[in-house]
Amino acid sequence: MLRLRREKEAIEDRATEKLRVLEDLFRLHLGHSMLIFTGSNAMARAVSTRFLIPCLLAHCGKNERLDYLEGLRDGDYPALVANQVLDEGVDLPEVKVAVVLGGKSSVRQAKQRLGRILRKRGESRAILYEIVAAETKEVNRSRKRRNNDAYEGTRHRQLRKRSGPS
Amino acid sequence: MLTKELAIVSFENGQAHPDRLVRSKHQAYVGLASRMCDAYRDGIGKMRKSLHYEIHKILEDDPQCPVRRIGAFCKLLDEWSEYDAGKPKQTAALRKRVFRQAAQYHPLVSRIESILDHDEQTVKDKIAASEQLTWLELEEKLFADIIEHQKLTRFNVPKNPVELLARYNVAQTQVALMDATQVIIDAREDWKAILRFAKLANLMHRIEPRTQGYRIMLDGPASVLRSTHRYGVQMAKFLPGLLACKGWKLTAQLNPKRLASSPSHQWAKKRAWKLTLDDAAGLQSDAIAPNLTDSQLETDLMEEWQVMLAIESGSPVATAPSAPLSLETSHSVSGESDRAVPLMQADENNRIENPTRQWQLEREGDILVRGQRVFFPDFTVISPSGFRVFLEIVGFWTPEYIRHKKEVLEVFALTPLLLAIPQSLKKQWQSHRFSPNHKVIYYQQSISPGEIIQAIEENNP
Repeated sequence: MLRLRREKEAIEDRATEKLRVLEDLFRLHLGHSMLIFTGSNAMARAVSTRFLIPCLLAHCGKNERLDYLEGLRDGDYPALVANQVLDEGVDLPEVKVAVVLGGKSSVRQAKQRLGRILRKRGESRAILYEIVAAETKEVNRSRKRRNNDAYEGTRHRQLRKRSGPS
Repeated sequence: MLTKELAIVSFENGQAHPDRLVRSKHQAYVGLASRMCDAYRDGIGKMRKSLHYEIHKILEDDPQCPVRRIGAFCKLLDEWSEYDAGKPKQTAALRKRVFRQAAQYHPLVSRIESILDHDEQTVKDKIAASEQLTWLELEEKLFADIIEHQKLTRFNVPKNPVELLARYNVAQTQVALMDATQVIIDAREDWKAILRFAKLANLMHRIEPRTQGYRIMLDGPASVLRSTHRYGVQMAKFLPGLLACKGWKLTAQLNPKRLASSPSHQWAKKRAWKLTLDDAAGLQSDAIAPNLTDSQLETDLMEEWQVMLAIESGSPVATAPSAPLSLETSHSVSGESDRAVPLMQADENNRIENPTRQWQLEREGDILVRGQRVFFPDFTVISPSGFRVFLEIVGFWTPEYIRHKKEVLEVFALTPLLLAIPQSLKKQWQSHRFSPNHKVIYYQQSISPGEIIQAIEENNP
């Protein structure tokens, strides 16, 4: 039990670490709309409280959800954080930068999330960041996600190919 | 009610054993239970999240305590509690204001690197001030409408904390029964009460007479085609009633494919398991008094009936068409059914004194037996003249159950009976040739007393 608690605390620590990385990404992409995907509702709320950006969770009513989505499109909100609500079904405004803070290793989720930012529109480029805590299962999950077909044709995949089969 | 994710079952010699806390092995839990109850009693105003955290802390004192057991205790304590649901609309509006205001300062940074950066704390204090709050207060309010953030307003403190352990043991058995395909209860005593509980819980049942008492066979939740969960809840409601009775033995067949086992018990899904229980098993239901009015449909009917009686007695003019007329008609009806007397056991009592001279609805039904067939109707309707008609309400169903029901109806063709069938089942019943003594009404959500009386009067012109 004690060991479990220590592990849990360690992961929580890394969560604050993630928020710090996120802060840098926000600075880097100032002026761009951003989407943040998290693995849990608690993490989504933590990001929301830390940066005071709207978080779209299942409990949001229809009005609140519409306000957030329209607000993001019109530039009233700089970013939106979500757990799984954004994965499917919701009509999202166009966003070119997304950050994955956590989630499953499922192909479906990876495709959906990536699809959120990859809308073919001229020569524009989209960027997807994944922040993973080192020495956790997250590293594997992220690797699995990236091995996915959905990432075919992305710059990430091109780099891998150039370095030869591994 | 626990969810399957909180179920703990162990398997041994073909038997499934739901987790049980017993004095011999789990003496420490008496103390833990009282600490847990204290935490909730003193926790008025605290968030659900932090209460659950406290329970986690308390149960850490037992290093063997599985995570599921902790979750189960949180769930059961929550069931004894009331939480403030917050004000979702106001909270959503507050969030909107805060986020919109904060947008101009984005991003809120913890390290200032240039003069254009906005310091997190300064901005937060500023926004909080515009809401006439401190940041800490605002932070607490920001997501106050989320279930984990709801605040405890009331905790029904049990007289003895041990009740919590008794409740836990019953709850684990309840959730294990969710996987039952069939439940057989051999009742030597108290069979009438057990049957009534089964009926109240709307369970699909077959009854067979035994040399001593009856065998009651219930279809388990795992056998139902649809609305399995709802049926499972009904089964769970039935258990405390059963536990309050004496002289019974329960054997349940569990569907191994749907077992509520933990992931480490995957192997258990490969074979059949039995769950047995009897009145000597030591499970107590005092913690939860069996609720006699659990079936909403029947409760509504009883209530409406009372209302109807009140109206009738208050204004005798309104009853004029039904009261004196039906007196005449039902006389002739009872004459008709008198011919059936030798075939039917219950017919001797078919007419009783009805001093109130009003239509009456009695929950207490007779158990009718013909050979191997037993029939236990839900209600008895007594006409102003004392003529009795049984009322049977059909709820949950499977094709086999309907077939069984039809067979029973054929055996009891001479019993004056009114059958209430859900509208959605009309198709399945339309082809059935009802005996002239049987009358059917189809209901949608509720059954009105007027419909019942009308149907009886129509059938007995």
